[in-house]
This record gives sequence, structure tokens and C-alpha cells, in this order.
Amino acid sequence: MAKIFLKGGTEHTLILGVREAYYQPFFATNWTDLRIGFFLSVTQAGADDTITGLTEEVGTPPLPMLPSSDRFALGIIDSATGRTFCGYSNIWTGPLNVSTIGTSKLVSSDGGITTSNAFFWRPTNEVSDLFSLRFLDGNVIRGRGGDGSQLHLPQDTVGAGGYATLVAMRFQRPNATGQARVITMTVKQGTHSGDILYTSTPTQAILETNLESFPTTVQQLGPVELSQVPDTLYAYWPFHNSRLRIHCYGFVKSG
Amino acid sequence: MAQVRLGKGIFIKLDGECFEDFETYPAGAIDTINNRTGTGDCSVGDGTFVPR
Repeated sequence: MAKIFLKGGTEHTLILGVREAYYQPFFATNWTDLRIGFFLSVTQAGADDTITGLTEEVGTPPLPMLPSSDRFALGIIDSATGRTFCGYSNIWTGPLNVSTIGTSKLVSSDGGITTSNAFFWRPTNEVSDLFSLRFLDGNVIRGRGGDGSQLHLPQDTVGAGGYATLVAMRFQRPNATGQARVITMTVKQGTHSGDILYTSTPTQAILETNLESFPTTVQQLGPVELSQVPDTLYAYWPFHNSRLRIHCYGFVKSG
Repeated sequence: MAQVRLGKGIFIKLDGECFEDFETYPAGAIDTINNRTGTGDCSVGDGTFVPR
């Protein structure tokens, strides 16, 4: 079951239960530029603030078919069908609601895709470390991001530069009427990393500032036309040995 | 409709925003993140948790 944990005794942090999905409907009438961000971290399944020892591989290699409940997802979905998704996932190929190929892994990582240090945890897939973004729509992949948008969560707060990662997505559409389902997704692009920053002060103010300025070196997917308009924030952590912590989330409508 | 200045004269149009930092919730188990009204026409409904 989800809980509120007082990180450092004072900072209220939402910790999802093991393999528990979080749905938060949002309203931003007629948006054409919507920026959504999260401060995230992970901790052990049985300890609220122990961020080491989380390595896990769900499924038995090579190349098992796993249900969507074994895949990490962070983004937006639609409440009408639950079958559209825009955001981060470790699905290699295939849609959100059917079985997809390859084990689902949480690996120790540097800030890229190798192990030059062990400062971070990184959700990935048995098949490839390169692809982290998806547009999914029913049984169809509408878009798949390229290398440079991997997500990292601290396992060494000193080495990482903080205990929480700021991750953000920008969604745009031409208008909210005839082309309301035509969506472009933009995230920061780095060297095997889409992380915006790491901090031990994951405040609303810092999140807001970064959503307003949004990174200028970016990776963009789409535009694609989805069957539904996403209207719900969605976070799901599929691992058994660890839980997702959300320190703060929010969105800015700038159009 | 506000405008926000961001370094070097860059402006974005800010129609609204909505944030949740969980500060209003006491420590312990929780089954709903309540709806919240932000600014402009931005808000969130009740958040729920579903075991999978």
C-alpha cells in the first residue's frame, strides 16, 4: 500500500507500494503546450530510505514474454481506455497492455549506460539499453524514442549529486479541437540520459522553474495521432525488491 | 494570462499550473491523493493506487 514517508524527518514523500500503479487525473482545458515533471527516487521494498541493493531482473532470459505489469512506465495515459501511453518505459517493443519481449531489469549504472561508477539505478530491458520513450496506442507502437533519454535514479547520493532525479516531459498539439489527439512529446536529450538534474532539495519551486525553462537540447517524438487524448498521470514500478518514491510532481500549461 | 521571464529575455506564456509535494499529508499509509486546484484552469482529480 502507498504511504507518505518523511524523508529526513520533514520532507513528505509518496512511496508507492510494491508493483502498485498510481493514477492521477489532470485537467488543463484546451492545452496545446503541457509540461509535466516529477522528482523521483527508489528505495528497498522493505525499507523507506535504503537506496542500495536494488538490482533485479524480472523474467528468465533469454527473451521471455512478459505482461505489462512487469514493465516500468512513467507518463500520461487516457482514462477512457487506459490503452494510450506517452512517456518513459522499459518496454522494448510492443504495446502497454499485452505481453512484450525481454526481461525487465533494474541495473546499477553510471549516469549513462555503463558501469564506470555505481551512482545510479536504471530501468532497462534485456534487449537494449538505448530506448526509453514510447507512444503506445492500443496494440500499436506509434513512436519510439532514440538513444539519449535514459532515466537514472540515485543509489549514491554523493556521487549522483542528490537523492532525487528531475524528469520532465513536454506535450504539444496543434490545437485542442480538430487536432486534439495529435501529440508531440519532447524530453531532454543527453549522453545516454534524459535526466534534467539531481538534487536533495526536490521542491516545487525547482520543479516549476525547470518546467518553465525546459531543456533546449531535446529529443522529440511525433507528432502522432492517438485514438484518445491522455488525461491522467501514470506511474508504475514493476520491481519486487524496490519501490518508487515521488517527492513532488506537477505540470505547467503554457499554451 | 501571465508571462514568465526566463534569463536572456526568453518568455513563455503561463496559462496555469498545478503541483503536489504531499506536504499536507501525514506520515503513514494512504489510499488517495486528493484533488487539488492549481492556478489558471489547471487542477488534478483524486489520485488512486492500484496493485498490479
